[in-house]
Amino acid sequence: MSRVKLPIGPQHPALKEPENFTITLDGERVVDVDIRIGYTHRGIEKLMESRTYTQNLYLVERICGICSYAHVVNFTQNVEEVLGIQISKRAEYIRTLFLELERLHSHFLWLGVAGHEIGFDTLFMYTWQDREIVQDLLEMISGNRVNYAMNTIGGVRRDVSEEHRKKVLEGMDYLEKRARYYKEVAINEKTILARAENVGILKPKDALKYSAVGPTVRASGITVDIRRDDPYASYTETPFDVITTDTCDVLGRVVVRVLEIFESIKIIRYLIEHLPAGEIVVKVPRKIPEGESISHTEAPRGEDFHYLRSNGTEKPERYKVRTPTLANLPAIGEMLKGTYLADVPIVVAAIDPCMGCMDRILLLKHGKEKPGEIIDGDRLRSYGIKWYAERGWKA
Amino acid sequence: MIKGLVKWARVKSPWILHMNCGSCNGCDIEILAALIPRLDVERFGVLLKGSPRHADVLVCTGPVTTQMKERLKRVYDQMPEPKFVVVVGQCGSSGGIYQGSYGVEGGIDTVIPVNAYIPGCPPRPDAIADGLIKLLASVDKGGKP
Amino acid sequence: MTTTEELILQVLRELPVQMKRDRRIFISVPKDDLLKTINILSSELNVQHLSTITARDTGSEIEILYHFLLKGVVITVRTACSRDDPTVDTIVNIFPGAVLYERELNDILGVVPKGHPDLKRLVLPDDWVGGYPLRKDWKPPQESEE
Repeated sequence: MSRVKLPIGPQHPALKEPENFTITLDGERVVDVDIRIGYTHRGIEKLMESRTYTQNLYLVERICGICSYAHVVNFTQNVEEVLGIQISKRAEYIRTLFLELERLHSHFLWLGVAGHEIGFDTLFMYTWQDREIVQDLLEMISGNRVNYAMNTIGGVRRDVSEEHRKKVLEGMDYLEKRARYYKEVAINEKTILARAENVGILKPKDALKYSAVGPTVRASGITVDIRRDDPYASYTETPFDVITTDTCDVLGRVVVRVLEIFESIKIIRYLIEHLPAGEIVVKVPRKIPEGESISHTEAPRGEDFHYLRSNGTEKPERYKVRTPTLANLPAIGEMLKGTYLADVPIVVAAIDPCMGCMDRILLLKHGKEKPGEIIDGDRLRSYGIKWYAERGWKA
Repeated sequence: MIKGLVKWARVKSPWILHMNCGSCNGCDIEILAALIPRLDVERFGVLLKGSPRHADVLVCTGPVTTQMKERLKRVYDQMPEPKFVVVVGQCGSSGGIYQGSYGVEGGIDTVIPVNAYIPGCPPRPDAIADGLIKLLASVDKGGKP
Repeated sequence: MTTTEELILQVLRELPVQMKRDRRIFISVPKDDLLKTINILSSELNVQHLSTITARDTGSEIEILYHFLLKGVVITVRTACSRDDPTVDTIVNIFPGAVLYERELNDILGVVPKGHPDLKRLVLPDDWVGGYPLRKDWKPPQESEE
C-alpha cells in the first residue's frame, strides 16, 4: 500500500501551517512520526532574566497550570541551595503535602481526559467531580484552586491549621474509596481494555533510549522516581512505593496512575499525622550570591528539571526549565509506530501531555499534492471511537 | 421574525468553540471544570463544539503567542455572524504575566475584537459561568453586548 | 558518599571533576573532548538518562551543559563553544533523547549541533527572523505594521 503523509497540527482544519506531528501512514497504520511544537512558547526563560527572584516565583508557577507547584518547588529549592539555607521541617512537610495534592488532582484530571479520548465521557464526569474535592482542599489552605502561591524563598507562605488537617484526612478517606472504584474499572472494564491493552507499546529499552520519564516509563517496568532516587522536600521520611507495571502499553499507564493515587493518599495521611511543629519560613539573606544549582522533582508527568545560574544581582543570569512532556515526545514516535490511526489520540494522551499541546495535535490532512479531505481534532477522536465501535467495542 | 427565532435559539443554546492561544492550561481546565456536574453550564444549553463554522461564541485563553496569532485570526474569520468572543483569564485580557516577552503578542484583543473579559489567574469555574451567562443576557437584551 | 558517587568519581578520576554537594557532580571538558567524555559515561558507567541540555551566553562564549542522571546522581558535563563559531558535536548517536534538546539550542541560542539528523526549529515560528533571543546582546525585532 502506498504511504501517505498526514500532518497533524494545531487548531483548525482549513489552515496550511506548521504542524505538530507529521504522521506517515501505510494504509491505516502509522509508520513514522515527526515532531514540531512551539505553540505555547511564551519566552519564559528569557523573561525570567529580566524579573527579580520574587517576581519569578509567580511566573514560574504559570509555566503549566496543572503541575505548577512542582515548578515552584524546583525554583525555590534552586534559590535556597544557592543561598545555602535550609528551610524548616514544617515547611518541607507542607510543600510535600501540596506536591502530592497536585499529583492527585493531575491524575484524576488525566483519567477524565483519557476517558474522554476513548468516548467514555461518564468517566470524565466522575473523575472531575472527585477532583473537585482536591481543588477544595487546595483552595482551603492556599486561597486558590490553581496557582497556589504557596512558596516563598525560605519556606511557605501559609500554614496548615487543625481544621485543615481534619478536612484533608476526610478528603483522603473519600478519595480512597473513589480510587478503589477506578482501579476496578481500569482493570475490568471492557471498553477501557479494548482501547488501552496492547496499544502504544514502549519497550523498556526504548523508554531508556529516549530518556523518557514518569508514569510513561514506569508502565514499562522502569523503576525511576525522583522522589525515591534523589529525594527532596520530605520524601526521605514519607513511606511510599514506586509504582511500576510491565505491560508497556496504554493500560499500564492507566494502572500506574491509578495506583499512584493510593500512594499519594498514603503520603498525605503520613504528612498530616506527623506534621512537625515550627516556623513555616526562615530568614533569608537579601542578596542571592553568585552560583549555580540544579533541582528536579517528580511532577505528576515525570521528571521536571530546573537549572539556575545566579550572578549576584537580584535577577537570575540564566534559568532553564525542561518539563516532563518534552522529555516524552521522542518516545512518542516509538509508541505510535505500528499503531492504527484510530489509536493516535489515546496513545498521545497516555503520556499525559499538557492539554494545550494536546488540543492542537489532532488535525489530519490527506493527500499529497492537492489539499484533499480535512478532519479536525474532535473528528479524529470521533473517528477513533467509531472505528472501534465498528469492530464491536462501545463506550 | 426569523431573526428573532434565531436570536432566541442562539441565546438559549450557544455553541462554544474553545481555543487555547498559548495559555498555561490553568484557564482551560477551569473552563472544562465549569462543564462538570457540579456547575454544569450545559444546563444553559452551552455546548463545546469543534468547528468554527458551527460556533456562536469563541472562548479564548492565553497570551497570543507568535505562532497562534494567524490561526486565531483565521478561526475568527471562519465563524459565521453574529459571533462573540469571550476572553478567559489575565493573559488573554492583557498578555498577563508574559507581557513584554518575545514569544507573545499581547491580549486577544490585539488580534480580534473581544466582547467580554473574565479576569482571573485563572478565574474560578463559577466566574466563567457567570461571565458567559452575563454575555447571553446582554445578547438577549438586543444585539451587541 | 554513596557507592554510586564513589563509582562515578573513580571512573572519571582522569577528568577535572567537581562534586559540589551530594548527588551533584560536574565535569568540565573542551568541546573536542565532549564525545569522548560522553562515551565514557555511557559505556563505563552505563548512564542512560539525559535530563536535558542547558546553554548560556556568558558574553565571551556559549557555555553548554549536558545533564545526565545515574541512580539519582546528576552528572553535568560542561563545555563551551565560541560565539563566532557556535558549533558542537551532536550526541544523538549515543543519546537519542538529545534530539529535541539540541534543536532548542540551535533555535534560541544559535548553537549548531554538527551531525544532527533533523535540525529544524523547535520553539520559534518557522518564519522567525528575529535572531537568537537567549543571547545576551539580542534585541527584539523592530515592530512592523501589517
